[in-house]
Amino acid sequence: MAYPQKKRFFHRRKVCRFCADSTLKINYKDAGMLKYFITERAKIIPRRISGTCAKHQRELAREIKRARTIALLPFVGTYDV
Amino acid sequence: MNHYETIFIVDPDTADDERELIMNKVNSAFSQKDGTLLLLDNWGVRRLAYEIKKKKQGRFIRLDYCGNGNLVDELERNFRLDHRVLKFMTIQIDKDVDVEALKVAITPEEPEAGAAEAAEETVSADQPTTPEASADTETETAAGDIAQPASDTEEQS
Repeated sequence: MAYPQKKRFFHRRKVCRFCADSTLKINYKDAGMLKYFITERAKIIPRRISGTCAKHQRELAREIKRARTIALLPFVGTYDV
Repeated sequence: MNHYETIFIVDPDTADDERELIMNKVNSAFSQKDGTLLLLDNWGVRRLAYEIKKKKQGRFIRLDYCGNGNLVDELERNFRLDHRVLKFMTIQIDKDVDVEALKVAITPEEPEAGAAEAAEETVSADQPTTPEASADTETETAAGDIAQPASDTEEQS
C-alpha cells in the first residue's frame, strides 16, 4: 500500500556470464570466482538475480557446494566476508 | 580406471616429517591398489572458510590420479584414521580413462610438476620447502589483514 499505484519495471537484459564467455570455467577450486555468486551470508544467489542460465546455474550450485565441503567457501557467512 | 581428484587438508601445525608419513601412506596406497598419481599439488597453508577442529588454517594438498574405487576407499580410510588430516574430498572427474593419454596431456602443461614431486620426496632430508611454506602463510595472513580493516571501515561508514 505504501507503493505507488503504478510500479515501474526496469528491464535490464541479464546475460549469463558463462554463456557470454565460454573461456570461463566453473570449478570449485576457483573460490574467488564463485564468491561472486554468493551473498554475504554465503547463500547462493538465485538465477533470477544473477541472470545465470539454468544449465550454468546447476553447475555453479554444484561447484559452490563442493567448495563448501572442502572449506574453500563458508556454509554460513558473516558480514565481514 | 577412473580419473579422480582428491583434496585433503592437513593440520598446519604438523611437522614436515610427520607430513611425510602421511605422504608415505598415500604413496603406499597407490602402489598397493595399482593407481597412477598424475599430479601432486601442494597449495600450501591457506585460511579455511570455517573452523575445522578449532583450526583456522590448513595445508591443502591436491592429488590428481587414476585408479579404481578400491584405491579411493583405501586413501579415504587412511585419511579418516589420521587425526592430522582435517578434511578430505574426492571427486570423480572422468570414467574409464586412458592413463597414458592423461599423462601426456598433463606433463607438457606443467613441466615443473615432476620437479615439485621430487622436491616433495626429499623434504624430510634438507627441508627445502620450509621457507616456501612459511612465505605462503605470510602472504595469506597479510591478505587477511588487508581485507579485515577494509571491511571494518565499510561497517563504520
